Amino acid sequence: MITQTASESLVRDLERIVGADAVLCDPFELLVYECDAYTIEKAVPQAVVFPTETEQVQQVVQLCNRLGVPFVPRGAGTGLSGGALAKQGGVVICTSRMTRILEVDIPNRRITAQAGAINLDLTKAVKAQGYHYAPDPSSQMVSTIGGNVAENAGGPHTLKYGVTVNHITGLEVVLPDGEVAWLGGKCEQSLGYDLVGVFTGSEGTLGILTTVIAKLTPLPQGWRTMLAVYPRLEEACQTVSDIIAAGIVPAAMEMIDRTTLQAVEAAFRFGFPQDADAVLVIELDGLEAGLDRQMQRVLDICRANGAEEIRLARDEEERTRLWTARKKAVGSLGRLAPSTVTQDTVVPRSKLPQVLRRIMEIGQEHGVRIANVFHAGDGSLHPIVLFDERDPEEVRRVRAANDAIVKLCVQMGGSITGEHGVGVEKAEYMRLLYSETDLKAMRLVHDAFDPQDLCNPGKIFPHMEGAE
Amino acid sequence: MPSIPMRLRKQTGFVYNADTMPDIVSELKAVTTAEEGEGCTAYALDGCVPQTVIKPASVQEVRDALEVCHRLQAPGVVWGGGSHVGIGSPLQQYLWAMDMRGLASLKDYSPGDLVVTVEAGMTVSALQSLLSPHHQWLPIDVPLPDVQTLGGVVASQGAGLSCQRYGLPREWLLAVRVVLASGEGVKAGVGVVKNVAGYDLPRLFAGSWGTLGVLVELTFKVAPLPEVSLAVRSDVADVARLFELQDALNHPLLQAEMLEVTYGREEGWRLYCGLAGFEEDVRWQFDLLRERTHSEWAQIEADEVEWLRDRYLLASAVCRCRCVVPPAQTADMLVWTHQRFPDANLQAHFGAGIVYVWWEETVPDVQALRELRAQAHALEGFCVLEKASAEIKREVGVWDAVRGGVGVLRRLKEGFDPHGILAPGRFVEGL
Ligand SMILES: Cc1cc2nc3c(=O)[nH]c(=O)nc-3n(C[C@H](O)[C@H](O)[C@H](O)COP(=O)(O)OP(=O)(O)OC[C@H]3O[C@@H](n4cnc5c(N)ncnc54)[C@H](O)[C@@H]3O)c2cc1C
Repeated sequence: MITQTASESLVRDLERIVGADAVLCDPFELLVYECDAYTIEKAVPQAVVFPTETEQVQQVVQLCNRLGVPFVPRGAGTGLSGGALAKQGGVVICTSRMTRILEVDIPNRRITAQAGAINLDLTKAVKAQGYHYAPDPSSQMVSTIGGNVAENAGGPHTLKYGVTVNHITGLEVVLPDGEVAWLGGKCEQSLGYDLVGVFTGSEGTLGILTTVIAKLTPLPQGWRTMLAVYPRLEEACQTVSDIIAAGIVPAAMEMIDRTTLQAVEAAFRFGFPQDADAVLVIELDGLEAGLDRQMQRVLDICRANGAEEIRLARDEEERTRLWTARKKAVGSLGRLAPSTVTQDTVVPRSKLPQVLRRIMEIGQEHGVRIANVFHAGDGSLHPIVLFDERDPEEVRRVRAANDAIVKLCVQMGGSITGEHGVGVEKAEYMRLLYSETDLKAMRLVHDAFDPQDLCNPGKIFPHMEGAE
Repeated sequence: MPSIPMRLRKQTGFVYNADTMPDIVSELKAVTTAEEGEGCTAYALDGCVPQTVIKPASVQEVRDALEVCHRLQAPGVVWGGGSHVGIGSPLQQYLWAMDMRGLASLKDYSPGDLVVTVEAGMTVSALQSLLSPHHQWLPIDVPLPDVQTLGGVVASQGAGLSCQRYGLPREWLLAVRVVLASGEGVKAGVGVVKNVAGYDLPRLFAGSWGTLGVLVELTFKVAPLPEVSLAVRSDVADVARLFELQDALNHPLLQAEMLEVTYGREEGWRLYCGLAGFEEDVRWQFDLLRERTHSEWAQIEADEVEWLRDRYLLASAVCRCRCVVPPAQTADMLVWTHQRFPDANLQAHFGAGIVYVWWEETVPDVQALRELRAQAHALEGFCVLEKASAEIKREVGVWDAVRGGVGVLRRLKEGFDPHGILAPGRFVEGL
C-alpha cells in the first residue's frame, strides 16, 4: 500500500485554488479514498480536492504538472476495477461538487451537465418532457455521468439502447497538460479524429472530464414485461436467440440461474417451481401500437422452448415485482455465503449455453459455488463466486476460478470486460486479447494525450518489460 | 527510375527533386501488384496523378506495400470506391494510390449474434446482400452502396439517409484490423456487442479519413430488417414553413428513419419522410406525421428514394459544401443559405443537422464561401468544403478549424504515421 504525505506547500497551493474546505489531507479522512468499489487493492492519495468549476480543475492539473505529481479523477467511487485508485499516490480530483445540470435543450435532444452530476438526475431533469438519458447502469442512483463516460458504462437496457458512448456528443475536458478543450459539441458529426469516442471508456487516463453533452432519448410510450421460468438453462438461452432471430430487439433480456433463484426464492418467496433451472425476464418497449403482437410472438417463442410458467405484468406494480427478482438477485446471494465476488465478461450470445455449462464445471473443479445473473441479450455475463473471505485457502480457489472464467470467455471470442473496465484489476488480462503491437497502438493514444504519464498512471496497460 | 507525371509537378506547385525521388514502384512490384501508366489517371486527385496504383490482394500485401512506402517515406492515398476520396486538402505529394477493392471477402457471420466481419474493400451492397437472406442489415444507408466500400464509409464517417435514426457507421463498428503506416498489423476491439477493454481504437480509426492507418477488416453489429417501411413526400410551400415543420417533426414519438429536405430551382422545396418498423407502429406514426404537419403526403417509389439517396453526390456540381449544425438548427441553416445563395441546390438530413449545398454552374466567390462557414459557426456547427478547384480549396480551406485538442490530434498523427505517408496534409489542421 502506498502512503505518501502531502507536503505543506502542496496543500497550501491546492487550498489557494479550491478553498480550504475543498481539500482533504488528513491521513484518517484520506482512508475513504484508498480504493473504489474494487477493494482488493488500496493506495492512499496525498490529497483529495473537490473543485466546483472547470477552471479550478485546470489549475489543479497545472499545479500537478509543475510539481510532477500524479492526479487521479474520481466520481462517486463506484467503479469495480480500481479505476479511481491513486495507484501511485498524488492528488485525487473528485467531481462530487460538480453536479450542476447546465442546460436542457429539448429541440436538439441534448442535456449538458457537469461531470459530477448523478446519472439518474439527468433523466429526472427531462422526464416530464417525455425524454430520458438511456444508459442505466445499476449504480445509476449514485454513479456520476463523468464516471459513466470514463467507464463507458452499460446497463440492462443496452441491448436496444446501446452503451454510454452511443449517447455522448460533446465533452469539455482538462487535458493532462492543463489545456481546457471542447471535444465535439451538439452536432451528430464531428470534425477531426473522434476524440469524444476515444475519451469515452478511457478510465480517467486521458484527462479530466468537466462537462458532458449527452443525447436525450424519447421515453417509450409503452412496455410489456414478462418473466418465463425454465426447467433447463439451455432452453432459456435458446429463447433469447430465437427472439433475436424473429427480428425483435427487446429493451432487456435478463437471466437468473438456479443457484441465484434459490437465494431469491428464500428471500422473496415468488413461488417459482422447485426444479426451475433458469428465469428469463424480458421487457419489450416502444410504441403501443405494435407491442401486443410482439409480445404474443415472444410468448410463443418462450412456450415453444419449454417455458413451464410465464408471468405477465399487467401494471406498473406488477412490473416492479417482476423486476425485483432480477434487481435483488445479487443482494439475496448474501444469504448463501458471507462473501461474493462479481466477474464481468462478455461472450457471443450464441455461445451462452456452452459457456454457462463450462462455468459450472469450473466451479466444481475449484470447489467453489458460482451463481449467474446476467444480461443475456448482450452475452454480458456476471458470474458471482460465493465464498468466505476468512478462509485463505478458499480465497485462493476463488481467484483460480475467476481466472479460468476470464480465459474461457476470451477463448470463446469474447472480452475480459463488458462494463466494469480494466483498471488495475484486469490490466494483466489485456494480453489475452491483445498482442504487444496492439497494445503499442493503444499506448500511442495514451501518449498523445498524456506524454508525461501523470494522469491516473498505472491503469489499463499490463506491466511491460523494462518499465518501472 | 520511372518518370513522375508532369501534371503532378505543375498542379501541386510542389517541386520535386528527381534525384532524391525514391524508386517506389520497383520495390512495390516485388511485394504486390503495382500498376503504372494510363490506369493511374483514374486515381487523380486535384489534378495530380499518382506514380503507381497498388492493388493488394491480401492483408499481407497491404503490410508489405506500406512497409516499402514507410521506409522510402513515400506518401500516397488509400482508395475505397472513390466516391469520397476527393474530399480533402490538395496534396503536397501523391506517389501512390492503394485500391482496397481486392480485399472484399466475408470473414465471419453469425446471424444469431447479429455480428459480421468482412474485409474493408467489400461494398456496402455486397454486405447487405449477404445479410438480407437472414432478414438482417447494416443500418448504413449511404449514397452509392454499389460503389462505396465499407472501409471507405467507416473512414469517412459516411452519413446516409437514415443516419438520424441509426447514427453514423461508428455506432455499428465493434472491431477493426488495421495496418499501420509502418506495415504493422493491429487488432482493436472485440466482436461482441459490449466491450470496454482498453481504448476504443475502432472509434479513432472511424472518421480518420485514411490518415492514421489502413482499415483491412471490420466487425459490425447488425440489426434485424424492419418488417415494413414507408417513404412519403410532401411539397413545402415556402421556405418559412421549414421552421414550422421542424417543430412539428420534433416529437418524441415520431421516430422517423429518414427526414430529408431538398431544394432545387425546378422542383422547389420538398420534405421526405421514411418510417420503418412493425406494421402497426408505422401506421400509427404516419397518422401522427399527418396530424402534426397538416401536410399532404404522397407515397414514393423505390426509384425516388434512390434519387434522394445519391442526389447531392452525383449532381454535376462545380462546388459542394457540407454544413453540420445541431439538429434543431437545420432549418436556420437551410433558410439562411437559400436566402444568401438563391441559385444553390440544397439537401438536408433534416433530423441530423447535416446540410449539403452545391452549385452546378457558377462557383461562389471565396468571400461568399467564408460567409457560409461563418454562418455554420454562428449556429454552433462547422462547414467542410467537399468539392472545389484546388485553388479555392487552398484559399478557403477544406476543413473547418477544430475547436480543441489540436495538440492531441497532431501527436496522434505523428505517433501513428511518423513519416507522414498516409495522405499527409490532407486532413484537418494540416494533418
Ligand atoms: C452496485 C453497483 C452496480 C453497478 N452496476 C453497473 C452496471 O450496471 N453497469 C456498469 O457499466 N457499471 C456498473 N457498476 C460500476 C460503476 O458504477 C460504473 O463503472 C460507473 O460508471 C462509475 O461511476 P463513478 O462516478 O462511481 O466513477 P468512479 O468509480 O469514481 O470512477 C470510475 C473511473 O472513471 C474515472 N473518472 C471518474 N470521473 C471522471 C472524470 N470526471 N473525468 C475523467 N475520468 C473520470 C476514474 O478515474 C475511474 O477510472 C456498478 C457498480 C456498483 C458498485
